[in-house]
Amino acid sequence: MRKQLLLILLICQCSFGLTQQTMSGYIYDSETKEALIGARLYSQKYTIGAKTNVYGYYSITIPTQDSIVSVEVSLFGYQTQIIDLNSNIATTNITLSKGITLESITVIGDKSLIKEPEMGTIKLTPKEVKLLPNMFGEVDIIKAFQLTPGVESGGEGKSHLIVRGGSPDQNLILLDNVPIYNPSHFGGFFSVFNVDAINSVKLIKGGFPSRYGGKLSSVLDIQMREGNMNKFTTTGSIGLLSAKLTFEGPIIKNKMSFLVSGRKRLLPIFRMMGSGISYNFYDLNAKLNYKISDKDRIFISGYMGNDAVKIDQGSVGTDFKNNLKWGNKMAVLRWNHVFTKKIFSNLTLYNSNFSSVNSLHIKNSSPGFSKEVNSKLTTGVNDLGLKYNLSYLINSKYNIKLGINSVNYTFTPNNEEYSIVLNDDEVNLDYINKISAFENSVYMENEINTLHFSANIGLRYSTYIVNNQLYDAFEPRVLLNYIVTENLSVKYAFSKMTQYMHLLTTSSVGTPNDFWMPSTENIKPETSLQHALSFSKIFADGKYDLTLEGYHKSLSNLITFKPGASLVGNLDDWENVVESQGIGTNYGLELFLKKNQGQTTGWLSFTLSKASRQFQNINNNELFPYKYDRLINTSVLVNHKFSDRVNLSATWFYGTGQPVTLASQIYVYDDEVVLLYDSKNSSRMRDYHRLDLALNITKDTKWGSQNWSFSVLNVYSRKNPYYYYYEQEIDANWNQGDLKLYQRSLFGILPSVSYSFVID
Amino acid sequence: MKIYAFLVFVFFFSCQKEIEIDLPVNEPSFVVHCYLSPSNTLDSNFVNVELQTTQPLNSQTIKYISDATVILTEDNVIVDTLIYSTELNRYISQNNLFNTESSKVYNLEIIKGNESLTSQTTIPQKVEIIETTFIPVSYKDKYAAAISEVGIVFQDPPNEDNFYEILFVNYPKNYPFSPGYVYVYDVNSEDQAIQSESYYPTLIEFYLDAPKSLLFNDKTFDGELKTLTLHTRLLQSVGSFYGFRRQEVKITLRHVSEDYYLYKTKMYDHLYSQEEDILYGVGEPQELHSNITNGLGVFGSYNSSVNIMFVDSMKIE
Repeated sequence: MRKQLLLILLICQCSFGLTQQTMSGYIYDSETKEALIGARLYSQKYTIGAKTNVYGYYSITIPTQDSIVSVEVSLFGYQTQIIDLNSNIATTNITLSKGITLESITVIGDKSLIKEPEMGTIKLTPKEVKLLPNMFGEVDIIKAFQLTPGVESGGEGKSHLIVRGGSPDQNLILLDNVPIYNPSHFGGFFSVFNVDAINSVKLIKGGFPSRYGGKLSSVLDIQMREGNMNKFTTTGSIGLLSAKLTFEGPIIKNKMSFLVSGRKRLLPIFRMMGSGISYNFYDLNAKLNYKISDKDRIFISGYMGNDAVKIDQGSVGTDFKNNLKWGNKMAVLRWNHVFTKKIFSNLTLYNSNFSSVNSLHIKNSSPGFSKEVNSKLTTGVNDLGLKYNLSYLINSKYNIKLGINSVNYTFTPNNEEYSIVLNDDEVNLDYINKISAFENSVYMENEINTLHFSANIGLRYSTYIVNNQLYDAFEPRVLLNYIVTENLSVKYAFSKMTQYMHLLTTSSVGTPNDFWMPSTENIKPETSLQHALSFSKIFADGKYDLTLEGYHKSLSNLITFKPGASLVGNLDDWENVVESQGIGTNYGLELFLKKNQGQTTGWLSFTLSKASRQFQNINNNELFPYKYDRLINTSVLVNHKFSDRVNLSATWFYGTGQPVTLASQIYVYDDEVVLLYDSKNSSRMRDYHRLDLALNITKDTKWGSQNWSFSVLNVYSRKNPYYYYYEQEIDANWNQGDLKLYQRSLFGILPSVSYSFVID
Repeated sequence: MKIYAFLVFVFFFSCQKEIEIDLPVNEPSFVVHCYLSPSNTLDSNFVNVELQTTQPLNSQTIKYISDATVILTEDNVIVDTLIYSTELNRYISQNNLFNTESSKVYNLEIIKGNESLTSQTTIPQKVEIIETTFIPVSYKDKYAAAISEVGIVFQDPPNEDNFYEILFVNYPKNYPFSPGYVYVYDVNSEDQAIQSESYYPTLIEFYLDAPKSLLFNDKTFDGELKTLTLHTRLLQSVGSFYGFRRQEVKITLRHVSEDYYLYKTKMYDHLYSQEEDILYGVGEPQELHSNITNGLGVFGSYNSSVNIMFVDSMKIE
């Protein structure tokens, strides 16, 4: 700590000795006036650069006496400009026009991979995601990240983020800086994020800056679009599963804009199958963006989304209704304030809610008899939060970020309202419980950028209080980047993370049955320690990027249900049905080779990894493979642009088999054959591989543009394993034969088509 | 919820494929089943020990072990060395001169070659059924069968963990039942003590067979005078005489040892999970409880209170 302070003072002292010019402002899209995130400014003369933050704000300090400095302003997909910045002007806002798009799907920028103190970070834009093969027209951001190293889906058709052997609850998923708890629709087939409402998305797998905390394995940082400040635009699309519509436009031109985007299920698929089952989902995003002045901006954004499954089946004298509803809601107010050219602040106030309600109604009636059972199970979590962040660009080599974060959680672990009416007698059994918890944190980040060295060194301190139990944690974060040449760098990162809430879920196929539970006196917070080392190289004039990264992650205080346990009947005693103090050990090697330029672009992603778990009373306290452990996971993405109108995209994924626990012996008890299982996850399912194709044809029209997207998933109809099960053979004479193992696959070849349009 | 996974499966018209997989060849393990109860009661079980070994997955026969040495001790004194009965495939007492009693500690030792299996159990105290109530027709189910209501009242011993099993049995003598046949009635209950057990099928799991006996613990009524309401379908005839058959129902409340309770409840969980994996996958096999050192199975005990309920033949209105 002392050495760090000394280094900071030294850099400050060196800098104070020179005259400096600081320029600041915002960079916008020239058409829509939306802020551009990650746009770069670079002075060739002084070899100093800067980039815009998530609000499109930049601040650059050049050590010179000249008040006017020429900088190159660039962003992938936009025309590069040379701008003269004048330090005598309070704010210089810049607009960039869209340029010829290269259709490459890659980390934005070339040299940033070498120079930036960033590691294990992948950025994608919605435009890039829309070109990828999709299911029923549902383009999905999370599915795109599943094609990158170190990220897994968790199984056929799933939209989980399994990052470096972590579990789905260990991802901090932020939408406009607000946590979202359940990012999946339709059993995990696609995520809740409507691509039309999204501006940018970034996944961080390691080397976490200290501004992020609360989850162990990754940060998925999603920024919503702000809305066109110039003109009204309507965007829509229709696929086999849903329809989407987005309206945006100015309320006050160049000052205030809005965006509303919705997505809803289209075809009543289950009803059409005559099954008495219906499934519905929707998402609604809305945002208001107000530029009060060059110093102040306000954003109000919100999201709500829901899935609902209804089963309505009955026969004469019997009613059976089951309604399962789950979803997220969030609302956030953000205020940006520029104190000086060097000091930028953001205040965020938010509410985020996840809830799942399962209602059951069964009624049996006949003459003289009536029995009615009603049951309602509710689980969820509600956050009320405040964040305040300050960025201070001290000079071109050093900037500091500071912040505080305070959250009040209200957990509804598992409320039950239960009643039974038998003829005229009624019995009610209710269990209602809410648990409140507070989490507070402060952080400091020091970002250092020199010619041959950059670093992000920080510390986060967090506290958590629940039922008079206090936990706290110091979380050091270190990322060091040695720039060997302008095309080669070596990076090392160390992160300690703490997670104060836990997700309990059963392991068998199927969702959602997620229970978010707080840390308590008996259930400690989960922690992780991650080391990572990477080599990054750019070659062939930036045409190719190569990153080779190794990591080791240790997890502790993990929890899981005890085998066979559930929350049924244990609502007030849930701590006794979980195994806690579990440990996890994950390590791996990731390779990411990308072609960024030309008509054909794409990437090769390869991961070699191992993820294990250990609990005292599971598997005889022996280490066992984690359920999402895959030894090898590789993806190939190829994108070919035939012309400005026609684009073909292909992805191929291969993964070695996921773990499964199989039986190898039997015995007989009370005339029943009892299967005896081997040690947990000791067998493997078959390997998984699949080829997907997508053809996108775009056409400009008088009123805007339209696009047809044709996708084929699983082109060669591989029967990939979804799960395994046992079934006893029965012969024609009803004699029992052998017990056999079967594989269930989810789908073969799956074509789909979707149509989208933009009216502007 | 699991029903949701079923919907996903239905939606995609998934397909199945037989899998050939090389499973490790594991050494067979010994499996012991023995339940002790006090001698000379209405529900007493003669002392018997079943000993088998685990078999590969598709074995068609049970491999009983008939040449082991099985020793039973009471309060550390050997009371018997059991002998193998080929008729019963069990080890039974060779002299029947000792009585098993409540509160006594019994040790079981089984020696087979170089292997030794041991276990221990203490027969719990009897918990009496204080009162039984009976409503012949509480309601009729959707098949117009009469469902009877039986209430039992008992006093739970305070300040200790107690485990129970309730079952209704009949030893019918007449056709269509064979001599020696034991008929076990289906029993269910809406009581929270039963409903809160993890093995008990939830309302959605209507496709699972109900358990033959109900096991529960005293977590929700520790030390209280407990009234448990149960429903059962007594033997009844349809056709020209629509009514109850004459029958003798043994309402049995067993106070069971913890190992007995854990083994049977985990077994229910395990067997239900086996039934469900066709829909939801072999995702979470349930572990079985065992108190047999170096083996599987259970050495448990119980003490019963039995009320015999005579039901005369009568018409059902």
